[in-house]
Amino acid sequence: MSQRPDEREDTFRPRVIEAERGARASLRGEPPRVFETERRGRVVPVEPAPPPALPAVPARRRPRRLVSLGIAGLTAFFVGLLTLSAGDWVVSLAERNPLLGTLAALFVAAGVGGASLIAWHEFASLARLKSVEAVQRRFASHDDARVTQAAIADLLDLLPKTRETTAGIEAFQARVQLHHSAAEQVEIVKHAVIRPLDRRAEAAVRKAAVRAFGITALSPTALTDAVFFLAVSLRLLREISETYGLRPTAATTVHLLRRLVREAGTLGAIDLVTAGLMQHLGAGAAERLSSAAGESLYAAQRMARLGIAIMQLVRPLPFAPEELPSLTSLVGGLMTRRAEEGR
Amino acid sequence: MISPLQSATDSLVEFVTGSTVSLAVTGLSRAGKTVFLTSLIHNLLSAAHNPNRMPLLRVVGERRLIGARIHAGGGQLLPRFPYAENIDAMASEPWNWPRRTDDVSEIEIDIRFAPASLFGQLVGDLVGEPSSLRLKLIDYPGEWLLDLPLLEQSYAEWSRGALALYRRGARAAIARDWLAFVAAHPAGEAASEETARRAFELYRDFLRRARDTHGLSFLQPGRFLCPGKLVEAPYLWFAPLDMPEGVETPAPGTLAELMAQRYDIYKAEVVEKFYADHFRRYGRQIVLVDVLRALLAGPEAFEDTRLALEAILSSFRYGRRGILARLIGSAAIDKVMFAATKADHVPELQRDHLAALLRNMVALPALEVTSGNARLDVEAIASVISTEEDSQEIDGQRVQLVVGRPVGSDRQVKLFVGTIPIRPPRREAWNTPFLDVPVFEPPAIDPSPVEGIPHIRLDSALEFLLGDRLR
Ligand SMILES: Nc1nc2c(ncn2[C@@H]2O[C@H](COP(=O)(O)OP(=O)(O)O)[C@@H](O)[C@H]2O)c(=O)[nH]1
Ligand SMILES: [Mg+2]
Repeated sequence: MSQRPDEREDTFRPRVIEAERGARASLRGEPPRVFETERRGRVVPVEPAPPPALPAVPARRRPRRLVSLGIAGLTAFFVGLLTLSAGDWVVSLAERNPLLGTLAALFVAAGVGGASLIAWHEFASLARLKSVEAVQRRFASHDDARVTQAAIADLLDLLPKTRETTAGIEAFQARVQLHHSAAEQVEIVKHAVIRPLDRRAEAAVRKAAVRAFGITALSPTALTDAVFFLAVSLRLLREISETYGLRPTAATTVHLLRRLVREAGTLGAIDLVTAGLMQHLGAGAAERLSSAAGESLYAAQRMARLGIAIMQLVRPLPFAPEELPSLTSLVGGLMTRRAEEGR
Repeated sequence: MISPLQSATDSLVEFVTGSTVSLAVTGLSRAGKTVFLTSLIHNLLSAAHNPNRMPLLRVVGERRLIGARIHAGGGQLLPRFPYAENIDAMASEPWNWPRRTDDVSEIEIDIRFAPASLFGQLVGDLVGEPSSLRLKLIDYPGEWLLDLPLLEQSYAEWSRGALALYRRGARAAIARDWLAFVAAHPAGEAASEETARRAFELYRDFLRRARDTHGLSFLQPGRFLCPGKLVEAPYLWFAPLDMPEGVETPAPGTLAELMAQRYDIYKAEVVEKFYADHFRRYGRQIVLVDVLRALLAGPEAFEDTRLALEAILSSFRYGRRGILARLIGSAAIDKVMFAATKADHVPELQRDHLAALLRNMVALPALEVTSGNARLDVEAIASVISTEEDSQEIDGQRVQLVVGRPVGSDRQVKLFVGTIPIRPPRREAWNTPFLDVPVFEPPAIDPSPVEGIPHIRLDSALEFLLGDRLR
């Protein structure tokens, strides 16, 4: 039980321990050299795998009450400013000619009213779709082939019945075999069914970007800019959701809506600031800050980024990093066309 | 030269818009500067199409990059960096590396991207465009870098230092002819055009031999090895002489006085001009070092590389005002990346060692103390991967190594580089010099900027250097 004192001392007395000459040690001084091989042909280098990707959803920040209060204030300020500036436009036209003024007021009212109607309609049809959450959760644990099979069956059931998806589903059923593992089945669904839907969603994003581009270039006031942008982005949200047959979860919808409003708000506010600045700075600055074209291009680009974000949120099978569409593939054409016209 | 007024306005504009960054690519000859620039440009141009090539560069990884292209602007002082030609050399048969650089050239890349922060978006909106960054790059022969330390030395100091160095070790044998000439012509000899020219020729031949057959780097002046556009004029005919201790200014009419005059003209006309014209306003720097070659080539070559690096780094001296800062008014380099190049010659397991060895070689901790608030980092990179991982039985042990096909050969060879130490080896631990590191041919490369070029941690190095300007 208790050790004798001298024995313990023995354990801790300094001494030399002969290290085993492991194979590693013997290779340590091995000189560099070259070995011939019989292999011909070129090498195909493999890049070292990048470290694991960062989690897609950032950690939840603690709510910062002061900041949100500030943002609310700012929003109120900008909404007020937007309304005032639209009013200003109407009044200035009215001063020139009362009829023109009345027409302008009608136009603004029609624009804002129409856009709001569209927004409401899009929102309502969105609410009818099934939430993506449950589907994504069922796919998350795909080690059991039978569970996955059921999940896939349900997913295929949900998808909108177009000719394209029907063909995809048939292709899937023809290709999938009993011995396929859960992961393999998911891979096949991805190829046969989901990829074509991705292409369709991308087309919707591209169209929305072009719309944002056109509307921002034409709309007369910052207020209409903002409202139109909001309407177009809501429509995009609904289109992408319908493409995949699913809608974002309630929480993400709120998050998305806030983001849409913010994007639209900044867009309008910026318009205002630019216009104001230009009045003060004169023609030279106007040229530099220039161009409705630049702004609309930017609106297009923001729309495309929104589109990518939405696709990420409602796709039933989450994107692998290399599958995400790139901004260039979506609005690249618009950009180069602009650049060429600019020459 | 550019007028001070113009440069002041330029800096002001840049300061306000924050839209230009100059990256100084620094490295001894054969360190991999040209290949680095070529791969960097090609991968940036490709990144919009193939974002998976550079996931660690966040503007690419976060899909915010809209596109990058070569700036077509006309008002350039220098020849254009032959990017397309270099890619062509690597991508078409016979697959080979870019030519050796013999003069200075420049190129600018415009990078357009969506800003990440709300503030950046607001600014971007104000200007009515997505953000953009212009990246300025120049390429030049690495030999020229070693001219920088000359600016701090008088002819007498330089001569004494050079002779002390060349009389030691392997250099003495390479320099025999020239040392004999110096012994026969003391500094106090009457000035003669003929003798000066002969001294120059013998000295230049020695420098060439030292570089080409012995792989040495610490060789001055750089233009003797690589004249660029410089025509051989009489003011170049100088060489170090055996200057007696304590003599600072040579007596009038002597050979030493003639040499000293020419040395001063060389400094003023060639060295100062080059740096004042092209090394202005560098904000970021990458120092490329072929650590592996220095290690394999033995203690003398390793020490030579270390000395040369030390001399160059002391000219830049970050945070404090080094020679360069004094010369051009301001040189606020605030981020420096030290990169051990050609990491594809070392199996993956040992690449960290390569970086650690470089860290110790340039005495990074000490440098950090003296460099004020500049940020320094070390990384092992390969601009172009031209090998695959493989293994081999050595003495009954399976070891990791790399395999590649040497340029001009039709069979692959395996390269085993031994164990890479993380510190410069002690005197008795050196292997015999190994000079025949195979030159592996570059991999298959798509010449149009779509696929990009396989690389090792080029993206991570770029993120460190430029990431904050691409937010
Ligand atoms: N395998 C490999 N070889 C490289 C790499 N970078 C440079 N090299 C080799 O190093 C040589 C010199 O590179 P270069 O860029 O011309 O050096 P510079 O003198 O600093 O411009 C090239 O010809 C290649 O053989 C690399 O990333 N991988
Ligand atoms: Mg070069």
